[in-house]
Amino acid sequence: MAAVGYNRRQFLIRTGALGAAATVALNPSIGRAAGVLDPLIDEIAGPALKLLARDTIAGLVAFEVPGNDRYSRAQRVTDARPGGIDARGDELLLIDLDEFLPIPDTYVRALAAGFSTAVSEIPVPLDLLGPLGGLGERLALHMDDALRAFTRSDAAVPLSLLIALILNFLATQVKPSSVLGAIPGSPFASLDFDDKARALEALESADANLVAALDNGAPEPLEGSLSGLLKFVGGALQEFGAYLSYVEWGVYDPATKSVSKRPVGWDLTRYMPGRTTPADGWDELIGYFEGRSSTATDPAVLGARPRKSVH
Amino acid sequence: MRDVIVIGAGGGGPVVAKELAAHGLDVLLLEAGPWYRDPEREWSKFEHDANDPLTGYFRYGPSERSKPAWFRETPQNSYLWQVAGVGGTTQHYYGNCPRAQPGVFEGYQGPDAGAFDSRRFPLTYQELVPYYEWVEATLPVQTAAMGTKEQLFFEGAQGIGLPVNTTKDITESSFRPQENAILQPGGTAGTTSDSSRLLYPQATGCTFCGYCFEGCVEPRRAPRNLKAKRSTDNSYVPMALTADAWAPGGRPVTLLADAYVDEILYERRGSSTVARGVRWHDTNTGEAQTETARVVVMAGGCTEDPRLWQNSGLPDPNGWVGRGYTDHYFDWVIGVFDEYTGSSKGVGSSARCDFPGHGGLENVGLPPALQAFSMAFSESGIQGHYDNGRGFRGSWDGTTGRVPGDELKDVLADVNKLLNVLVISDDDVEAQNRVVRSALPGDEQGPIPKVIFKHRRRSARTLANREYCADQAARLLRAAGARKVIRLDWPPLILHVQSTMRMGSDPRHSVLDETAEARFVERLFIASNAALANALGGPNPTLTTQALATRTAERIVQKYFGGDPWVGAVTPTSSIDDAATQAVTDRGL
Repeated sequence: MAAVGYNRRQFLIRTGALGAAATVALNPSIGRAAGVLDPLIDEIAGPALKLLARDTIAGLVAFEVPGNDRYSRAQRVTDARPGGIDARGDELLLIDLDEFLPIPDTYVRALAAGFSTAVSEIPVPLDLLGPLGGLGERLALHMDDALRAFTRSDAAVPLSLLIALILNFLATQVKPSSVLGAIPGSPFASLDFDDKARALEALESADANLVAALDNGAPEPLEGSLSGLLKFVGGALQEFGAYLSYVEWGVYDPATKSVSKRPVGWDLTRYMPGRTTPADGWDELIGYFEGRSSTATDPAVLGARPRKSVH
Repeated sequence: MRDVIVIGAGGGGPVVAKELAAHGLDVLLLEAGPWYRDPEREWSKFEHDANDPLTGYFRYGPSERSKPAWFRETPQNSYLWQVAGVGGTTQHYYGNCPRAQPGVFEGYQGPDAGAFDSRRFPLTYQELVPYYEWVEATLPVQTAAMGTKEQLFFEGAQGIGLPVNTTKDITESSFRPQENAILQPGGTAGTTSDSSRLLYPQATGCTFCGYCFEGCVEPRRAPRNLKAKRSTDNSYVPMALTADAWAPGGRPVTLLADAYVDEILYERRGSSTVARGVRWHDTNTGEAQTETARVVVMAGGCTEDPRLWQNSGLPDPNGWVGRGYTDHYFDWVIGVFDEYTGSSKGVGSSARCDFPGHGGLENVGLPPALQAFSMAFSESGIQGHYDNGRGFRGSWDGTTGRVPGDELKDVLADVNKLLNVLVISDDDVEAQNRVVRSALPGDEQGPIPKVIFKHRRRSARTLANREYCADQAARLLRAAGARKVIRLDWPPLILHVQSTMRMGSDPRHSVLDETAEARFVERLFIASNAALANALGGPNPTLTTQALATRTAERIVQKYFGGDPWVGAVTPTSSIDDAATQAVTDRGL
């Protein structure tokens, strides 16, 4: 059996890959519930990576719009009112990222290639690893293979997974002990609220360690685009994490163009109390300012200067 | 061979098409996106269904919503908000139609002349006024009615000592109701919230529904050309398609949607390069078509016109194709009130301030999710956590930055107790802000554009203008009674777009001459916002693009078809004219 190098193994730990694998290995039901990502990846790696993506994205959505769900509790900032998770903002963000965001797949693949071989020069202290430190070489090799497989297969690399790996890499930079946090599948989701902000700060500033890890796989001439892309992603994740938590998607039926009940976002904002359909109008007309309902060209403007002909 | 091919049915293309059709020319209008023929049925007004940039009906992508949107690279924290389809971004615009600041035109000699961008329009303001009046009569443009959010905005503007502007022209720092392309409310519109009483003809004009950004379908049952908002799909396109009915000698335009233009065809004639047609493909079938014309007009917008130029291999001897992108370097200031503001109701924005040499402000009302987006969009990090080296302090509360998640819900606890002010900076034309071809893999349309904004290295004048306007916004909101004022420090929201294929009098820094014909390619004109010479001093760009497009249509007729100019010589026909309405109804448009 080939060996996974020490630094590569540290990288797998820091991106949450080994944590998620351990979670699935110890709780097969989680893996079964999460489904399988790709036939190339067997029963642990596939569900583990899916769990990793789901938990990390959910950790992001709970950060943007906290509620009283387990991700909000893990960050130790909760709210009694429903939050982004209740609105199914995490599900929508996953779908948008993986099925609709049209970033060229070759680019995603190139970035993923960076992750397939990246190593971490900064080890997580042994005393923080707990049971992860004792995981067998076999599991590490398995996850290593799984990540490499994404760049070998013809299937599209889920963008949510790539983003989750990035967020987790940064999370463990902020707080190494997050590898063993309240959400075992995701160091990022295990951070408290303030530390999540620090991880996002690193993403928005195109953290040098992260760029170094990813550039490894980005072919010229894409290499120079990387820090710009990270800045874009660092902003977009936060904007859309908030936006998608307030939209109607979680209760919307596209076939009938109607909602089954009031969207969470509508209740959170006291938007159109009692309504489940967009309004056709409101009794909101006050009139015209100073009673003036029309204006005209200022004669002084026309009189000031002669016309210039271009003919 | 057609007389003229117009590429893009957004804010500018249909204006050229309609004007040329009225003069009997054979015009083909090609649009890459969908053509919504029955918006009352096709549009839901729900925010995700409408505005999701990946899957919404107002996205930048093909008609078939299960297919991916068209990706554009933006290598910085920013958001490029494009919309495909007949109507383009006017489908989601607020209809605001302020004229440009006179100081951005050649010949301006006011005492503040030095306060404006030195890259001027190659014509005088006075020359453009008749074209403004022509478009204002056609759309038509009217003075906006007032709801609660406008009343509060006016109180704030008066509170900071601004006078009211009672004309269509900007001559001093002032406030006013918007001049907008929204039909004024009539009948029951604006006086009831009961849908059953808001049907046409009982209601006419704007019903104050609050969904400008999700597409105007009000009043329901109104003919398409009598919908309240005068997006081009409701105004110029119906006119273009019925030109024979309302213009003596008029000839209806042929409009093809789902028709993506991949290439401008051209040939060398002596020392000249001359446009002769286009190659396009059907986005549903993939079938490619070639069509020739005596004149080609590009109107795809500030990102797509440079892209098509570059992908066609057209000449760019001075390097200004795609350069000089202006976007009004927006910012966003929110007032939190104890009282009702009506922020989610009525036209998206019906009030504004103008500051010559600096830019302007306008109020903006939003439904919940867009409001949340607006509060999570920042270049200054997250308030209280990190600031990306920014975190400005000023007349607002605290530092600039996103509202953190644990406070967002409190600020957003009642969307109708907020008042948003959009900061519109008069930003300079700068070569560094531009469209280039991305090195990322292209799509089925070829190489994709990359939109670069060096927003942290903008000119000192641009940055100072933004700070000036943001300060005015915060003070206005306090004067209006806000108990808390939040400034976001938005990254570029690339939504008011101008000047990437700019016209100018100096051939070293312009792509178009003073008639909007390309300097380097004969018989090729540009009629989108890309043709604008600069950022207009801050006013919303659509009206000026439409006025300029009207003038461009005249120049095309004069130069290539032997006709005479008509603006100022005849009375324009309004898009709500009875003859147009009858034709729209008869033809099921």
